[in-house]
Amino acid sequence: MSGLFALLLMLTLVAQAMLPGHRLLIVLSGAALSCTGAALAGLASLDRVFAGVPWNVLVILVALGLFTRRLADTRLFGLASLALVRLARARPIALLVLAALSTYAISMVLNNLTALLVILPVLLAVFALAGVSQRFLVWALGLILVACNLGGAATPIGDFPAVLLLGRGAMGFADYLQQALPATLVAMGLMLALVLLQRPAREVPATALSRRLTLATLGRLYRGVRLDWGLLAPCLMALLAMMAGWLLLPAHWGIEPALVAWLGGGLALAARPSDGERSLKQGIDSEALMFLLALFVMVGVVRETGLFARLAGWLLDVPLPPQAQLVLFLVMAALLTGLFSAGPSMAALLEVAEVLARQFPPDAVYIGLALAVCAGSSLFLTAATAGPLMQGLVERAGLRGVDGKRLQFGFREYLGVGLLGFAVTLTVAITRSLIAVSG
Amino acid sequence: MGALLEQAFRLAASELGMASAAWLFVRQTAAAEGAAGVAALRDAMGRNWPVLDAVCAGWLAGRQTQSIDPDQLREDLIGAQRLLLVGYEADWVDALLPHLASELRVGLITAGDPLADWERVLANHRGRIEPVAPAAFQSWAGPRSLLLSFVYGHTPQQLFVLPAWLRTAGSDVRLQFRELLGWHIMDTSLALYPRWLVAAEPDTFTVLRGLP
Repeated sequence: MSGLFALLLMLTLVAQAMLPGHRLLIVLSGAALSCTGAALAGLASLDRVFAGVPWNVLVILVALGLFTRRLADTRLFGLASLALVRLARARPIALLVLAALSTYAISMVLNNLTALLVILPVLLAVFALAGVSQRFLVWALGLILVACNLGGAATPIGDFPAVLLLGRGAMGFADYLQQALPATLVAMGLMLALVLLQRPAREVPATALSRRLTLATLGRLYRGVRLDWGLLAPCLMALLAMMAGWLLLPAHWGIEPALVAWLGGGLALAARPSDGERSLKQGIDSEALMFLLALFVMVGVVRETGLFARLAGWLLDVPLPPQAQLVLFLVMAALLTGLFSAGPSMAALLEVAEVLARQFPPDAVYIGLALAVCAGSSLFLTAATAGPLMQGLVERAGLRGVDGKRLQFGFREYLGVGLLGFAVTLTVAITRSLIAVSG
Repeated sequence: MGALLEQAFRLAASELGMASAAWLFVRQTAAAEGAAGVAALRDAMGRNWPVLDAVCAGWLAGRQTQSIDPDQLREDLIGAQRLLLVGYEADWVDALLPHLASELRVGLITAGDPLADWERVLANHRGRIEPVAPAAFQSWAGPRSLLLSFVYGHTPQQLFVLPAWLRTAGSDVRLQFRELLGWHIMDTSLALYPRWLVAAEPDTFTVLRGLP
């Protein structure tokens, strides 16, 4: 029986990966079939399945999504990106380094899609104005995508896997931050160094005039854009209050991370009630929400069969030393994420991780899992939702190279950078987990 | 390099307007490389961008400052409640806005080059200009409403305007707005076939200002 529900989950995941245009319909149908099967088999009622859904995770995602939308409305990120281009004086390598580091930093607080949506318009405008080569475009955008994933994994609020760990109570805010941030910084530094060794800008024909035109034009494009201090101030206050809440509130008060996010998001929305109301009505990413809800339901049904506990048991029975068992789990997690994306992989694998965390130090398992999922998210352009978004924005920009040919950024072009990002992040994940186990 | 410069100019023109972008490129090139640079810019890009070609030609002939006079529209704006822009030229719009009464609503039809990021264009005016979808422009019609577009050049029989003007200024529209204003913004004639522009009959406008 458990195999049947697991097969349905797998088929649904494969189908949604192959037909991304219908993924919501596919996962919702899969969830409905799972629930029907569970009811008919007497495995679990709908009430029981829904009681297992981590609603607090969904609350965090909605609250932080709305918060980041308000923060982006202040124009902070567009203007900050402009300042970076000026700081780099439109020189390609300086631009690549600053863009990657700022993407990493922004992704620590904002979700990946928002981070890309605020950075890429300025960056693509600079690429169009200054002119770039195919080689530079691929390395620069690929690095930014990897930086986006690493930044998201650096904090408990940056991306879904970490939010899930926080929401499920697997790890506290401060614990996660303390252990994941240094590891992602190491991975970011390694990735940056390896990309720079490739000399990505060697074919970029930068002249003094083109740099001058780039900076002057960009200055004109943003000539009247100003920071909205009236909105930024309450948003920053809300962010500080949330950070303080996550870090300092005693657990026995019962103010859980989801409630902190709810209150903080509400504060940012209430700063301008009419805009806040509009954001609430139009700004919730209902597609992501429905997708995750359907996944949680399907994973919940499989959990009821006891399959995840058996999988963890099987993993612990593999005739390998304990460290090798953990490495095997992390590699599997990374590969599954590459194929099925972070949401489904993390939702299913966390169930296994919770069993493994009884055998190994919990942080070795959970941080390792978050980083392995991060590695998988960087493997293919399709592994994370940020990839197709980036591809679409690049296509829309219609960039051309020195020879006038249209520049491409798709699955094939990204693969080299993706493999590098995957290898670097997974190596850091494994090394960190092994150190934690041996310590 | 020509392809890259063309790409840069197209992006600038998509959001600043062709004349404003041309003046920006000419000024920057002149500051960096002098008259020889402006001549080289004209040789490299003038054929594909006639407005840039005209600005380069004017600059090389000694017309090295932009002449923008929003007072040319003052009489037409008296009593108006709504001003709808068909097309965008950053330098001219920036100069015009401070001359407008604060109660005059200003809209911009967000149609043009698909490269344009209209949100960024409008953010420069911090709410002073409202976006208007091409299909909804008639909601701005009325006896105190004006349509304004930019004119880039002319022959005795024709005016060269943005394609958006022809999609907007039909004979029925003529009756729905108080005036259909054309604002000449070039003081040098277009020497080449006006690629990116279209030829319109002068009587698609009710008033023409700034004729050189």
